[in-house]
Amino acid sequence: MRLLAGVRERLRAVLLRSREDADLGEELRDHLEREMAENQRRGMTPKEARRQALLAFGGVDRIREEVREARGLGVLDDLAGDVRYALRALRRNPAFTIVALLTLTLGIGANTAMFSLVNGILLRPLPYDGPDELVRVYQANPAAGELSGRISFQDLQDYQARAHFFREIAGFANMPTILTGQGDPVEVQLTYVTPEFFPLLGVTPLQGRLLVEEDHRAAMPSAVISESLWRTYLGADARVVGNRILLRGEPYTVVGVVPATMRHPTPGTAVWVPHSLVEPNVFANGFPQRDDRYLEAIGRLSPGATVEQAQQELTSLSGELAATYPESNEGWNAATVVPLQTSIVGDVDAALLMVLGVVGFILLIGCANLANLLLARGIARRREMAIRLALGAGRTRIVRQLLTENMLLSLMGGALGLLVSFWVVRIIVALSAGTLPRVEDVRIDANVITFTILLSTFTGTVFGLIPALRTAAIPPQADLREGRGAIGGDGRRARSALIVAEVALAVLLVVGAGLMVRSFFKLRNVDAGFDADRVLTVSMQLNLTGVPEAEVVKHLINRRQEYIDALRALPGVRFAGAINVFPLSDAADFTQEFTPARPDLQTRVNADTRYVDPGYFQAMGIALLRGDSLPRSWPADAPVPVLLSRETARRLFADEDPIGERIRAPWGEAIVTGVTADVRQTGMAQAPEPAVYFPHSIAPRLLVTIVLRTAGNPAGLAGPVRQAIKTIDPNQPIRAITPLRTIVSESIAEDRFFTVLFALFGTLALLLAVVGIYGVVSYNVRQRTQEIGVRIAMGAEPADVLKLVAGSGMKLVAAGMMIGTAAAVVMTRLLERQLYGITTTDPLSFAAALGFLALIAFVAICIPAYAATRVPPMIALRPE
Amino acid sequence: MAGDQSDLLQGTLDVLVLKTLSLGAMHGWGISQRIRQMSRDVLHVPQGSLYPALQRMKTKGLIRSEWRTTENNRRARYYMLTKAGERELARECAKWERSSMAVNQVLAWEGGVG
Repeated sequence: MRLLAGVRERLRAVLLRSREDADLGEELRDHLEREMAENQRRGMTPKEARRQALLAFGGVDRIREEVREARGLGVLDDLAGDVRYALRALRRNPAFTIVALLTLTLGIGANTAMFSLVNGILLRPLPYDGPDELVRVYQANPAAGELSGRISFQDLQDYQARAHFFREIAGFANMPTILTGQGDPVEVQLTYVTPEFFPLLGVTPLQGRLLVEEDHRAAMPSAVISESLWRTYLGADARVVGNRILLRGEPYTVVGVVPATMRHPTPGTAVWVPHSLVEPNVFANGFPQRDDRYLEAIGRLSPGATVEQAQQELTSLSGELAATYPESNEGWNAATVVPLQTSIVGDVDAALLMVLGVVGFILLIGCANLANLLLARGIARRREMAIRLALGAGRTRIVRQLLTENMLLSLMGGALGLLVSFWVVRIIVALSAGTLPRVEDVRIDANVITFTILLSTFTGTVFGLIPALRTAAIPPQADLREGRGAIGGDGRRARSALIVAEVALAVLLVVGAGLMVRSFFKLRNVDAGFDADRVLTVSMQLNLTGVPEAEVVKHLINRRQEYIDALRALPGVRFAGAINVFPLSDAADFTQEFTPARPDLQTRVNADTRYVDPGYFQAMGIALLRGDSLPRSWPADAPVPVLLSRETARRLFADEDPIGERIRAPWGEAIVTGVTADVRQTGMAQAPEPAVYFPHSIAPRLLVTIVLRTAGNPAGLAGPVRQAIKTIDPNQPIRAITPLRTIVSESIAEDRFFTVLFALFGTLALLLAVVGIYGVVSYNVRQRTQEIGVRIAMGAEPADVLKLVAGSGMKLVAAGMMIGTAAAVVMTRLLERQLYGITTTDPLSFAAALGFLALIAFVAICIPAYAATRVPPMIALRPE
Repeated sequence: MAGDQSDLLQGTLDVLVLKTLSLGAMHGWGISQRIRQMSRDVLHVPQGSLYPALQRMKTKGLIRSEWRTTENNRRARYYMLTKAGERELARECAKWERSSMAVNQVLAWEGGVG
């Protein structure tokens, strides 16, 4: 209580300073009057009474001062004074204040923005109970290089029954479907979930309930729908529970709505239905077998269990399963378990943290510039400090005063930076073009604000401490006597060291940016195996509504052909073809094992299996290297024709000609009709994987992407394409009509995003460093004006002066570049995973970055150096 | 009571003020008058010490103050003891008694050393 009273009293004293002073004045006046009255009562004349009273009183001002001192008791009062003084000092020097605030706002703003991204994407826990216990579970086939495979229903059940480190494991499978009933049919994503799915995540429904065990046995299919479907498609109907929706014409009862925060692990899903409803035609035999690996899985770890323990346990379980069921599980003898958060964030974590590091370096460069400014300003303020010292101010008091100024600057910079970061975050998110996961979780929260405050405080100390100490270390007498005085050698050394440091940092960032840019151009120019110019892709999921079960296969084959033919007939279309899973799409690929049907060859390959229309290769511009394309038809008793990609042919047949050879698939034999160029199916940065192409008619698929090679701008055909499809089936939803160029460009959007960030921040670093160099060199020139004047008067040529001034500047730059290069050789290793097609010490990138930096630094030095050659020699004669 | 032994002065002044206020709320002038009376005109409290001392004790939470209207309608700041002040006074009195007794014993010493 007593402590509290003290604090309250002190705060009151600081806040109500003038009130208190007035009160004290009144109190003292009252005292004086009473004393006078008393004196008069004792018989003194009024005049004498007053004189005596004042005498006894002894100086009202001194009392006031002492009371004030007793009241403030130091720190807080001093602080208020320091802040007032600092504000005055900053106002007196607006140019400095603006430059400093601008630097700090940019630096802290960029850091705050990057931190809020890192915070939202990497640090913020997922919106579930016990988010740390949630993991993704994959079955792995290390021999085939598949570490994150899917799981069969049978294996999942074995995992569920036998794993102790898991409280629960759940399976799910995504599947596009068509929602009809209200207005135009729309394609939405459906997720089949096993009964454990929702209880495992611990989601609270917005409306109704979640799927329970009984739903998996119920005669009438139930469905849980997403908040966004509920809002956009069902008009946020409060009585939606119990209503029916039609999926591919089948009625489902809506039992609940889940909130939009439940985004993972099924982003984009609109409808969740029981796993028991998976359509039998998904499976080869009409029901799931142990080798039908179609489920993705999530798990919740038992309390105290670690991810490593869980992975070990599932790996040994998988080993047992592989031994027990060799025909279905051979090779699938391992498992991968990763935290759910990690699986969502993917590999952007390293890149994001690196960019955070980059903006941190930029702030340091900014700090170096400010420290230099302050050192220079400190010299300009020597008189002020000397006078204050002479008047008895303590040195610690002066250091504190200067630190208060810097702290005030950096806190103001921090506040402005926080404001700026709102926009910076928006710009960065816009630049990321949808490639960043969890951006919806990025916002300015308490973490971010704390970060900004800490960063501002840290910044104020970093750039302010050394200049403050140096300024306060001035011997008082010296400066009062001399006018300007010679600058201390130490001051110059400190400034030089700062320049070397910031050049080194800039080298690091510019080299990093150079590597990223070069890598990106390599990636952009990579040969994907197809020709992306003037190609339009039309992807859809064929509408089966109203088609009887027995007709499905025929319908899929015929309808697909009708669409291809109709689009091929459009004016402006040169070639048309189709494939089930388009390259670079995120739809899961499907691999199968193939072996040559020849006893003398023991080779095997796990090849990406795609089903195409024969026109696909021509439309895509994929080169046919050998043999013929797929025939449109073949005799019923002949083996199925197949095209191999070059890599598949090489792995199976090495250098032999594969045309006419037979290969064995799990379901039978096929005959090789030709070999095509390799195509980058999974990503532009991923080496092409072996692929085989079968005629789509042998395995009709719901998904189809029709590829049109056009004579003119492909985007212009979107309207006619839509119309042509509508004419055939008005209820056929179209998922997307996209030029192939756009698809390629989107597939490298993440690389582009990080390249742009690095380039942007590299440029900023360069700019800041150059400003710093320019500032120091021109400051040195000003300091040495007289010396230079003497040299010119003594006959020095402009070239000599230029050499003198620029030489010392370039020496610093060279030292910084050397240190920076050495650091870059080590640090750029961190970029390894971001780079494509170049090493982290790519000589060309290093040379270009260093050359560019040296050139710009040289220009920055030459401007003030040239000014030095124009110093009139008369200046040497002028007294200071 | 005038003099430069400010340490003794300060500590002693504080306890004298506390004692005075334990008799009832009082304004600054009243406090100095009362100390003078109670010490039979021996101790004169200089205002230059009194008001800083009052402020100090207020900050420490030993006393509190409020403005009151007095006889013939004047306003004056009255000081009064807080609970903490009462405890402090008791403590200081005990301390003073102990040390003054010790000083007296020393001064009254007539025996030899040892």
